[in-house]
Amino acid sequence: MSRPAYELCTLLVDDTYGELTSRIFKALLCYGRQSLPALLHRTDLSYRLAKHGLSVLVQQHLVLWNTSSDDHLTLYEANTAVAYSLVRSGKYIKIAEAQAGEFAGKVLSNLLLLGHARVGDLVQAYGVGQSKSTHDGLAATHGPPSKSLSSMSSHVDGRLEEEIFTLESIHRTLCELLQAELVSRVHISHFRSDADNRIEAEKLVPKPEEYKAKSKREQDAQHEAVVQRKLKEWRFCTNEEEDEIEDLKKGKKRLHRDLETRRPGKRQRRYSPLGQEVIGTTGEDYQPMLEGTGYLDSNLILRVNHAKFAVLMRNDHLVDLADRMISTSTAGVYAQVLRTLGPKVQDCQVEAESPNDKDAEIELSALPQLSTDDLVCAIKDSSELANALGKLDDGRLNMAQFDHPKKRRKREVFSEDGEMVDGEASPEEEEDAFDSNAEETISDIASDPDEANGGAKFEPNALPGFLLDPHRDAIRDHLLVLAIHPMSFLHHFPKTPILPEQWTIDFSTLMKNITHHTLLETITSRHGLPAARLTRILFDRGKTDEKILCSTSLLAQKTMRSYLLPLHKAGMIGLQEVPRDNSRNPQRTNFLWFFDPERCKAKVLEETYKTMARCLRRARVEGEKVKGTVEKASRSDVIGKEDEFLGAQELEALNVWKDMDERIWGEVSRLDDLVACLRDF
Amino acid sequence: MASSTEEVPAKDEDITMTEPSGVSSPKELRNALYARCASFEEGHIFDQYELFAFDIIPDNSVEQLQAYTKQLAKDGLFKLMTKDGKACWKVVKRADAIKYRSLSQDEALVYSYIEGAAREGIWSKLLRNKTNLHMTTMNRAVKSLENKNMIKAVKIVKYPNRKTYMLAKLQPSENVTGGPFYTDGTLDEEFVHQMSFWTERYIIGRSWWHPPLPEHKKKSSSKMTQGQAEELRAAELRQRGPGRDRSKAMLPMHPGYRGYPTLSEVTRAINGSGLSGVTMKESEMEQLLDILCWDGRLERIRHGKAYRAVKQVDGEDGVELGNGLTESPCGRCPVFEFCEEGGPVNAKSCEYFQEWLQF
Ligand code: SF4
Repeated sequence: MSRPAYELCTLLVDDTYGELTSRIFKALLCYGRQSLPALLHRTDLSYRLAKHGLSVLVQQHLVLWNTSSDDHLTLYEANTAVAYSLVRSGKYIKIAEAQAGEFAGKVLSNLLLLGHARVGDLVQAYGVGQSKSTHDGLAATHGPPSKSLSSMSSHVDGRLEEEIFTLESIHRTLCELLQAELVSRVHISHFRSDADNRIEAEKLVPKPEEYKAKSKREQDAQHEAVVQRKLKEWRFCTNEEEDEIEDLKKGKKRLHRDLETRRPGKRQRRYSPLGQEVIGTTGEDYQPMLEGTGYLDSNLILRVNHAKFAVLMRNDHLVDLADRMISTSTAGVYAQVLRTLGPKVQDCQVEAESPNDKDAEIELSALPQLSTDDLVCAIKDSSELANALGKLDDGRLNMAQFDHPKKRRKREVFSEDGEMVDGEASPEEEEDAFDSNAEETISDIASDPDEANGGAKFEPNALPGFLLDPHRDAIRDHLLVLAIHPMSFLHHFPKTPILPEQWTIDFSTLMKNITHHTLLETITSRHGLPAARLTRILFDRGKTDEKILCSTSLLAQKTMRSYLLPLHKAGMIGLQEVPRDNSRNPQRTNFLWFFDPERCKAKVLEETYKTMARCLRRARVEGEKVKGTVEKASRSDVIGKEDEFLGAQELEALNVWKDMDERIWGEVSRLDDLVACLRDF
Repeated sequence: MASSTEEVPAKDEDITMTEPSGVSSPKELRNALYARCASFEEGHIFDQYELFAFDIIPDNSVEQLQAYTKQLAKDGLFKLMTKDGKACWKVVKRADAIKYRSLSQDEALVYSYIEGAAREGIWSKLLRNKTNLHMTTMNRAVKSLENKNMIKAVKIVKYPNRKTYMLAKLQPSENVTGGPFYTDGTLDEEFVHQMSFWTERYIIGRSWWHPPLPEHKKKSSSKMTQGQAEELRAAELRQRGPGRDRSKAMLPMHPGYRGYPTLSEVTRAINGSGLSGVTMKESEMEQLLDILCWDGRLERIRHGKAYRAVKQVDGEDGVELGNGLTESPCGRCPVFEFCEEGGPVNAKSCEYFQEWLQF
């Protein structure tokens, strides 16, 4: 992260938690990881104040710390990722509301402000005692919020008091949040930096020498895999490995216990945020809100799970893109795909389980998949979908291309024997025929889709033994539209003799495409279309000499230069000098332009951080101007009676400021969308 | 690019040759030899044995052949060349030979190199290197050749600053002119724009489903003959131009749709449209389609075999513009780099922001 990013983080911390914390945070950012005495020296704070500030920061996960077991020295380190995500609080709350209801949004906003919290404390904060009747919603109490919460009630429009909370509803909400993985358990590793975690993990797992492997390299690879697994398990709070190691120590006991408790399958547990450890009950699969007993363990400590929020934000972004690039109906289907895949996607970053990517196909099939049937069940109404695709009059469609190669071959044989029912030419023949009589095939005449549908002549499923299912076909068609899009929204696994048709999303390719798209979008709107053209050429063709660039881009040399130079100046593209001989004479040097997406991305990100920081600064400046009025307006005796206490001018100023503030924050949120797209997805 | 007038003298020779001649003077023999060679296709290279095979040289004597070819070369009618160290010859047209004869030695040298470069042309610097003439001598020769209308200067698209020459009667090759997108060595931007505009509309019309327009009459669903269909389409084209505009209401085609235009289809369509005076080649159209792809207006589909229009396009006449960064004042700020808290340019005193906030 760069300086503007640091400035931005400091500003955010300052805005949210005040001056003391931001001062410490800034010192940690500027001078890096350090111990308390060093920090005291840097910040000129008293021991007590610094301790206090640090404890707040640690509570918020804004500062990571680690006490080394060797010298017992505690070192603190700023956590920029969490600091940055402060800007997303609003989005988080909205997402939580959408996922688990309005109340969930409130619980989440509390959790956001508290960093992490014990379930018991959270419940208590809403003023509901353990003893209250839980089955009787009517007998619920009006919970007077505790001090800490009332301080934030302004965030939720002061409506906190009006809510009716029952113990049950709080627990249910928390459960829902847990299940949606929006909140997760806190693990000690969450307080440590990645490097520290790695050191700790390496201490725990067996040394490389202990693995049974032929070569040193294999040993290292095995060791690495185990370390990664450990880290991942810490991150997602799945204790399986820990258990296993312990079980191994215990030997046979394990088998015994397994039989006794019938622990669910490994895979299942892996994705379940509610392992037994979470709720403190052993032996049974957890069901949210079991009658009377389904409360969460009040000692359970929860925090906001940023990774999952990023996934959800990414889903929204993807659906939005599909909407813009394809159509609204298709985007609807895509949203359902993403929802269905949801529980299987924990993190935007693709885990590099096997860094040596041998075969892309194999890797793809390792991704979470879903079958057409899953979606057909999930989507209830397809009437509108069927009419949302264009068809031709003659209904000649080439659906065979989506079949499994083997099946395609079989159909060919069919046609050779003259047994094809619908008399359709074999796909290969069609392909050949396609070019020659293309004139016929292309028709500009918009057809009545029902008619084309009714013909069913083209349906590949019309083979004997297949029932026509318009609902299923409509959905499948939209899925295929997504799959053939150059953005590769979806990956299609054709039906095979053993497996049903499957779909998956190859996120790494998709996100690469989207990042590229976003960068070029930025370039287009900043430098113009020809600049985007040049950049794309450089991307496609690699390093290119100006002459060739000129002739490929069909731009006059002067025009081209007038676009290249600003692009270069803005750091979007690079220029490499390749001397033709030792003289280093510019005349005897080739100049090659190139576009490095990574570099460009870093540059755009940095600029975005800086822009966000500028916006926040400006928001402050605007705030300063009306500071007096705002303070007056937020006095307890003035609230609600603004018209009485405030003059017309003051009211006007207040409104103008509110508009501006909204506008600036709106912009910051748009900027954050960009950061999310480029950095997090 | 031989003009037909030059063929005439060659024909004359044919007539003389057909006369049977018992004993011939060396001149007649020379002429006969020349005529025989000229009847071959232009640029054919003859070696010694081929010439003997004509059975014109008495007794196939090497000395005689040598004498004749020497004289012919002197007259400029034969060009002596070597191949694998052996002598061989090329025929020069009589009209050219006359021209040659009128040239000075330097001019002839320069001319021969320019001629050698054919339709590609030769760069003056290279010409000087090859002829090994002094700058002024060469310039003089070039000037006089130009005045005699035997060579011309052309502009090479790739190197517009290089003085390049070629024979006056030749049409510069496409490497030199840069193809149909260039006129006189400069890019014809208007033409490129026109062509890409048309192409884009054509592809838009064929790659998305445009929900029926209100005035659209339902066509009879019975199969029509190809002629009918074409007529119908022609009528539509006349009505609405080659394609349809990009719109938000466009719907995707069915995944099995096979009508996404391919390169050859687009080429055929554009040549059929009469938009361009010259016939476009596929390679040229590919260049144009590539440009449209790089502009983010088209995308390749079906493994790059066919093209489809991009539904939503940014920029220029684009509907949606950019993202959070490009729409904020700082994203377009000229002093962005210097803007810093406490610096001479900062967010507090920023006017761009003021403007933006008031919009
Ligand atoms: S705050 Fe103003 S001066 Fe600074 S970068 Fe933004 S627009 Fe430019």
